[in-house]
Amino acid sequence: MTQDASPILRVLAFGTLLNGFMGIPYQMQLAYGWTKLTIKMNVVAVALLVPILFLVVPRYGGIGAAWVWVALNAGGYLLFGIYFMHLRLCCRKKWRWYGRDVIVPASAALAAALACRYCLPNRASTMIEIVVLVFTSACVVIAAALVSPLVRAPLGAHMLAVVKHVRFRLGQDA
Amino acid sequence: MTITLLSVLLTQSDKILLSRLLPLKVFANYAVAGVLSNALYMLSTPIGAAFYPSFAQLITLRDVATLRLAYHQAAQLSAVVMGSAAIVLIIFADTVLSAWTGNPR
Repeated sequence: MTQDASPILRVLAFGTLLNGFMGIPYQMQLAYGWTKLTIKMNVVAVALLVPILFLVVPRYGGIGAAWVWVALNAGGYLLFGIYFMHLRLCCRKKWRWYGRDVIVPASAALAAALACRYCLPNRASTMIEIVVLVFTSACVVIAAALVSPLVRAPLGAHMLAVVKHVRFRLGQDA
Repeated sequence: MTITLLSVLLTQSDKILLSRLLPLKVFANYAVAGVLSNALYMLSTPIGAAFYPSFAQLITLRDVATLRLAYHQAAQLSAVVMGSAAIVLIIFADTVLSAWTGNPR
């Protein structure tokens, strides 16, 4: 099962990642009380998805269906959804959203994950594999946070406060 | 209500169709992959839900500068948390599946 399901998982997770990027723009639309765009896009997506799946699945199987999910999110939501949203609502700088908010953290995370994949052992016992996964996840999150200024700054300030608190407590105990 | 209904249709119609179009063994692989990839929403949904009241308040106050800052901060936080998990899942799909199912590679 692992052998057969992992290519599908890779593509589905990519599609879900693209869909997940739309979470914050969607909350912004809701906060403005503007739901029409999401409704229209979802109607079009459902109308397209079913016939496309009927065409793709018999020929390409599960991996074909997973790529349809990626195409829907990349083309429909990330391209058109973001374009129309940034045209109408407060945050007109859509390239800043694509660049600094999405591509930069995702690229740093990808670089860190690839480095871990090729540097760490990947065919070991289950326990070692779990340790590798936990270590990799930590590296990937740190890499993504370091290149995201609006996450790095408050996180750094919070960690500094924790360090100061611990040093203060240790000083008190001594 | 309409958005929720459409979202359910959008995320479930592939599974309904694939269960009819594919043999059970092949569909099982898709279903397992679907369960794992959908788990990513557990990381992105709470971030959106946490920022939503703040967005609504700033829109009511017409504080566009702070709203922009909050919007970009939420987007970056979502990319860091959910994006990182998704990328680990993409690059280490076989490791995650083998650890989760106990099925060797």
